[in-house]
Amino acid sequence: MKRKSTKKKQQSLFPSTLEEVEKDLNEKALNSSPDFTMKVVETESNQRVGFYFLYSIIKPQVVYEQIISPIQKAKKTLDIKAIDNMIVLPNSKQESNIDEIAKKLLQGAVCIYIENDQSCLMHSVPLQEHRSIDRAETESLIFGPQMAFTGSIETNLNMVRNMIDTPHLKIERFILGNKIPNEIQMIYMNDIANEENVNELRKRLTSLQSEDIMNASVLSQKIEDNPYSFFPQYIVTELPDRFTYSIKEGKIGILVDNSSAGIVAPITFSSFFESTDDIYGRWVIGSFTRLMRMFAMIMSITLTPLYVAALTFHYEVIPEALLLSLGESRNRVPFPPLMETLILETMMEFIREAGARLPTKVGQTMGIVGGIVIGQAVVQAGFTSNILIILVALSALASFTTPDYVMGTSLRILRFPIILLAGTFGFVGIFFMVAFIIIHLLRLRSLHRPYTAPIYPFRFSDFDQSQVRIPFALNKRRATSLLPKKTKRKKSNADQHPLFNTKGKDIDE
Amino acid sequence: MKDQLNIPTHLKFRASYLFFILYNILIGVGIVEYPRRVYNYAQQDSWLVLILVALIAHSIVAITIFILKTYKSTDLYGILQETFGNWFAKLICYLFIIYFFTVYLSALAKYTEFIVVFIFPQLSKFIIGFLITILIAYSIYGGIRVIVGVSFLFFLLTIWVFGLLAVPASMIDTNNYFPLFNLDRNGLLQGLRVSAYSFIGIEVLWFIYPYVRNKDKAMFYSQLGVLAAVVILFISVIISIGFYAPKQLESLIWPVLGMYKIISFSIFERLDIFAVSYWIFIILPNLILYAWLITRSLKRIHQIKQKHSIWAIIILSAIGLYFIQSSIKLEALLDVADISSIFFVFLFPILLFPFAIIKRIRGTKK
Repeated sequence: MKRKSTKKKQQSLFPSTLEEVEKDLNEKALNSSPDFTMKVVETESNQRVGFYFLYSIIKPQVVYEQIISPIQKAKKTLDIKAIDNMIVLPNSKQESNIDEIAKKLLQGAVCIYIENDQSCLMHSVPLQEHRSIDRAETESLIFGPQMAFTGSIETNLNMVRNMIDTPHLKIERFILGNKIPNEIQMIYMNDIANEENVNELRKRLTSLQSEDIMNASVLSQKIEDNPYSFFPQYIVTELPDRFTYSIKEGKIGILVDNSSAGIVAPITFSSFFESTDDIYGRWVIGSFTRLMRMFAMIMSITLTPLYVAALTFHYEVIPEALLLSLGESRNRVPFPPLMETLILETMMEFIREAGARLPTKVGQTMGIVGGIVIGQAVVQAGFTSNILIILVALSALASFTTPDYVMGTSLRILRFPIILLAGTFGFVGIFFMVAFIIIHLLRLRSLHRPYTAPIYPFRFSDFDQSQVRIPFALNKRRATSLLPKKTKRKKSNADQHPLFNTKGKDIDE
Repeated sequence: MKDQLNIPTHLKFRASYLFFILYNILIGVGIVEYPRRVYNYAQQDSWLVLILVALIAHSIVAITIFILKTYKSTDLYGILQETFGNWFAKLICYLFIIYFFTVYLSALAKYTEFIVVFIFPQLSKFIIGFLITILIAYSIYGGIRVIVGVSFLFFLLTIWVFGLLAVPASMIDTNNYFPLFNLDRNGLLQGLRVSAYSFIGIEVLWFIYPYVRNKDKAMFYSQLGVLAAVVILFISVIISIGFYAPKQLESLIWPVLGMYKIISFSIFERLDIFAVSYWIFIILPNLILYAWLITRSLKRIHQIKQKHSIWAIIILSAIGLYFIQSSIKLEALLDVADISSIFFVFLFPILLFPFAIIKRIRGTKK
């Protein structure tokens, strides 16, 4: 019954005059948009053809040259098929439901209607203004390709396709968002990515009930395993090379339209401390920087709490020589160490946040003012000790070595509860919080894969690609933590290396 | 084979993790005072006594795993149910739960005592106990995967702490080791009894065995775990005897923690303060495993959700901590745990052994 009634409605719209269609479209379906445009053309065979579109989101030149003018010049009597034949553009569709037509118009389509016909023809010519391919703003590389994703999913896909030009690259398309639909593409290597991961991610995307997916960062938070955690469980990256590298290693990438970032899943805790620069540089540099970043991470969250704990409760652990200079620098400070540290750490966060919000040119001045002037003045005024300034600066610096901004910030914020606990329970408080973080990390998963891999579950063979970076000649297999289909890289590549053809030969032979 | 436990594959773990589980459950608060306790009875022959007990413990592990293997994939409750029936199985498991809780509570109370004595004399034990209990509940909520992970990661985090004992080891006076072989029968027996306490925790196998994926290697890795714990105990005993003067060792309450006192670095003096705080990483997997054992066995007997029973443990341990604020009461509790451990750790597997053999023989005949 229901079906019949809708059919009747459709029949009531078509066939009708061009003006009626305009009225129906604009007033009923589109809520009277000011940019709704109708263009009526009379052909030589005295047929009236109407073109409907929203002029703000179509490419006007294409519409006039490719669609309107050939029809205008037509000499025969036209029907829909003939018109479709005349227009060289791809992606045409016949449509007779007025709501569907309105939806397409909003996505940048042109509706072509011959008066008194049964249905109309839709041609998609969307105009998408985006910034051009530019340098990445939030993630920086030394060696890598100096470009970042843009807001257009087509451009982003184009970059990914260019970097991985193999038929094994599989792309799945979803339209998500109940109220404001948005296009989302899931990209993975068909022959490498683990099927369970792909199915899991597909299930999460399709079952996602959301009004609006704003961009990649928002989407990544909506499909996380533990939305309450303070650690991100997917990497959201601006860098196409990092994105494609992860896909080539068997991970899954997600691109979101109108978002200049891609999501990489599943990931581990240690992948936040990896940068593609480690791969481009020599293996010694790569391994060293990766280990250094891990060390910096640990230092950045424990250095100031240790200061607070030692000065508040355990001054006996400080050696005599150090205690003297500490006492000298602290003798004018009127606050307890906890408050002293909190003041300085909060100031550090102010400087960081101000630097991030201000325009670049002002931001640089801000850094200088904050770093030198305030720092110097604070010590001279006797608010904090010199040594604490060093420690706070050191731990702030250490936290900025994390290549992922979200992770870096999470870790920096994590420092505050540790400082508070250090000020109330001393070392016990610090170790309590560290134990809590470790247990939390153990509990976390990314796409049901353990977050702490390859440390737990322990896979020693994966350490060469996460904690350190071994030379390519030795790098014969992919990390197994993600359970890729093929762990071995192409055999011939490794064997052809001259280093390994020396079996049985002596030096200088 | 009516009561086989079907653990889903994604919850099972590799047998190699048994090493870390057994190591962690054996090394806890006990090691801190073990050298003194054994020295009181066995004097310079303490390490010989330890080796003797270790041999017994290894064979107990062998027997336990033999029994578990006989019954394929089930835990203690399943085994008892099959051999003795429902009623008796429940009774024994209740005894085990009470015993686990006693050990758990005494370990928790003991650690809080370290902190109170070494760092915060004014702080209530209650607060520290509460902090640790939060961590325990949080990891129990993560399930078996997290519990095994905790024992693995905290092993890696803490094993170097014993490496620091190299500093006192370099100050050993070899005269302290003599005279050797001076042990009378009473000393030997008392020494054995005291050392037996250090092996509380082997019972974990009874409940964790069904979770092992490759059960054929379970024997190897659990023996290895016990061996690692024995090595650590042995090192601490040897260094304590050599480092302290004989009379001094007898009077020190916690000789192992005392040894950290003389270690110092250029930016860090008095490592005992650090060691006591860091001991939380050693004690945590231990307590978590016991808490898991309690919730797990309650689940096996009554299908009580582990989510709920962990809260019971938290409340009960809070009440317990409140009642054993004084050291004397804590010592009394420890004595109870120690004496009952001889039954639960050493006698119980031996008592169950004949039934397993009978079952094997019957099985082969069929």
